[in-house]
Amino acid sequence: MRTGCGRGAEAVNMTGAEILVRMLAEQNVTHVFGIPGGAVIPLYDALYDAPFVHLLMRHEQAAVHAADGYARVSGRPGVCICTSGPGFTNSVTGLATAFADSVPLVLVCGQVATSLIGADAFQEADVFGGSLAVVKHSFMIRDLSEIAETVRSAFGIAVAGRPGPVLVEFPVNLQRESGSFVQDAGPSVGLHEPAAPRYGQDFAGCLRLLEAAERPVILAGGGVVLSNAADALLSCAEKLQAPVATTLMGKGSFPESCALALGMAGMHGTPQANLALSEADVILAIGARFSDRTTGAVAAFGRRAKIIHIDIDAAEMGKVVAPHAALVADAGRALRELTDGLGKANRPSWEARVRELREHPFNSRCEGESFRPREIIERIRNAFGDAVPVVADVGQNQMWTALHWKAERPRTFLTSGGLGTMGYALPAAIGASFANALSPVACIAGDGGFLMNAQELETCVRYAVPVRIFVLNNGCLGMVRQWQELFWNGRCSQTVTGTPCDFVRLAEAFGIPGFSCSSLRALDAALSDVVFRHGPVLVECRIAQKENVFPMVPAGRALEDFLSGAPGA
Amino acid sequence: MSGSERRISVVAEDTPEAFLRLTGLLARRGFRFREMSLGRTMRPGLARYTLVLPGDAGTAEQAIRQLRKVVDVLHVEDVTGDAFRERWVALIRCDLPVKDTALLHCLLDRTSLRVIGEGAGTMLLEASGDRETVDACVEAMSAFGVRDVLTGGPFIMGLSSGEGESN
Ligand SMILES: Cc1ncc(C[n+]2csc(CCOP(=O)(O)OP(=O)(O)O)c2C)c(N)n1
Ligand SMILES: [Mg+2]
Repeated sequence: MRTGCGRGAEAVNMTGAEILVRMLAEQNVTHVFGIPGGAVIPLYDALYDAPFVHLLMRHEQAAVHAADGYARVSGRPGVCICTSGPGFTNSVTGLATAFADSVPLVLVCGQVATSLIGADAFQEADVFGGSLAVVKHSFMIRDLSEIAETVRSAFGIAVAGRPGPVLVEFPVNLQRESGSFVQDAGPSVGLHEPAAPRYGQDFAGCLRLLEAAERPVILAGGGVVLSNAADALLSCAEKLQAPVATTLMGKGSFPESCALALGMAGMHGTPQANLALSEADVILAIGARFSDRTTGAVAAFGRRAKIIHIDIDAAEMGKVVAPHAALVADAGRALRELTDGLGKANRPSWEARVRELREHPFNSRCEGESFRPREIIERIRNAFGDAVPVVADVGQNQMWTALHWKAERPRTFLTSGGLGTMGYALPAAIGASFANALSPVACIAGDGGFLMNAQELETCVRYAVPVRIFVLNNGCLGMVRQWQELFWNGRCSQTVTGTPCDFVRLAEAFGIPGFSCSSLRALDAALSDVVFRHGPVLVECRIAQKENVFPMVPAGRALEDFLSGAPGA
Repeated sequence: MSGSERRISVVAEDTPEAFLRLTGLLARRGFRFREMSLGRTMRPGLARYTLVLPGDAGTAEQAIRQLRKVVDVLHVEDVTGDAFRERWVALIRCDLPVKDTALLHCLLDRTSLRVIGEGAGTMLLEASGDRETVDACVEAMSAFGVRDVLTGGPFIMGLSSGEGESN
């Protein structure tokens, strides 16, 4: 059996597993994250001699999150491997997380032998069906001759347009089978060229609205980060003299120390971001998809504004908000062209108003507390500087990090935004560290979410990954408790646990140094030690159970209707 | 043609996986199509789906943009309107003998209904045409002790060549 068409390259006899590894190497893969199993033993045998590194994780969900963290930091597709059946089902949350946040990755998933597919074989799962709703595309390898083309297409699709996870299902018998293989320089085929969109090409309309704007605001989403367009965004904002709010996924797309930065908008957005969006007469939303967590009540979103929507995904145009001008384009290209087309703006009264908004103080009020989330996050951020990536888990800890961690550069703020997957932070931080040649990464999690992937402490130790873990221990599933407190008459059903475990001893059980802090002074002391450590470290910050995240726009309310503190507090 | 529904043509890979991706996507995103036909054209390996989607052109456009993202979809277009013709088919089985033979002959003469076979005490008929015609035929046959009805469609083709056919 031969694959490809030669071009002088020599045919060699290889197994399917070896061909797959060869093709991963062709894609310049440096790290793959995974766990072996019966349906991928031949593949793991080939990985034994691979020219790239395989990192053994302790859960397939974590393997996918690690590949995801790697991708978000490096901008290149993450790669992960799992076995059939339970290996696959464990990976589904990771795929869904990556899909929701448009993260490019390729999962190679083992499958039972082709002769057994559909026969309820041991560890057989419907991989195609089970992943249908959480991948950008999936492939099943049915013949040795398809491997090269499949791998090339999988990587091509993962990064093309709006990125996303791609799954490659690889039956075990094809991994073992051998045949003659020629590694030609064939193009990735099987991809249909997308037709040029016939709508969403209103560049002139975008320019016109921006030129006429009196109170413009830019809303930058994750697409700006994905398209490496942070510099283009800064130039555009400066030329336009427009303040920039970001979505949660857009954090890092704009330097938050800049005078034009408003911080994050949305349910837990900063007052200045939410007020500026409410007062704007033109909103330039770029690489953003108007998620309900960003818009608040959609009907009220930007009701005084003309909306310009720029996104690479045509299906986002009009999905939630009907734009007055739509441009289906790569964020970087669009921003550069807009900047070139715009005249230098001068709007003294709007600039004054933005300055005023930026002085709007905010903090959650929690009387008598001195060890507050805001200060904790700021101290950690200051200890690490602006180059160290932070991965925030999900819950209150995530929103405190989003509000108070000043992100200055793209790809330094990572979180599960779209899916809100608790347990994301630790494994993603591991992947993020590998993407930066094992440099330090800060990981901020709650006591609940941390325990959802705490087994990865072992991975950190085995590879001496310098993840600096901060567990904000409030002894509760805080974000849910906050909703119960504010909107469910304080009936805290199943959310208040008290400290779930001794986090320091948990860390030490894995051989990781642990610190516990109950004051800013103790945190400062721990930080001065932590930043110089080589491997992983865990710092527990014991914070008050009653701390809440404010500002907060209650679900279904307009962005400007945020609560600054608990009603009556 | 009803104003509150649109016809959409989708050219995609002719595989069960593509079928599931298409229908799964529509179901997931709440585009609850009323009818769907799967047909084959001159191009081997490709299938043409025709969907009837409730809603206005704006809703259809949202569905079209989503469908265009499916990797095994080559072409999607709104095929609603005068530039297109559509065909539906019905198979009808009814009891023999027929009581009102005069009426049956009248129907066979004046409509697209025709007999396509007879079984033990039953007769199979076919009707085709636009949806109203086919519905009217089925309705008319209800006077004859109908045992089973199967309707399907639409198949839609443009009067002049369209983009979906050239690639
Ligand atoms: C996998 C998963 N399960 C459940 C939830 C729902 N949820 C959102 S926030 C939250 C509480 C998180 O608690 P913790 O990790 O301690 O963080 P905190 O809010 O206290 O900072 C829960 C249960 C979720 N987002 N993800
Ligand atoms: Mg907690």
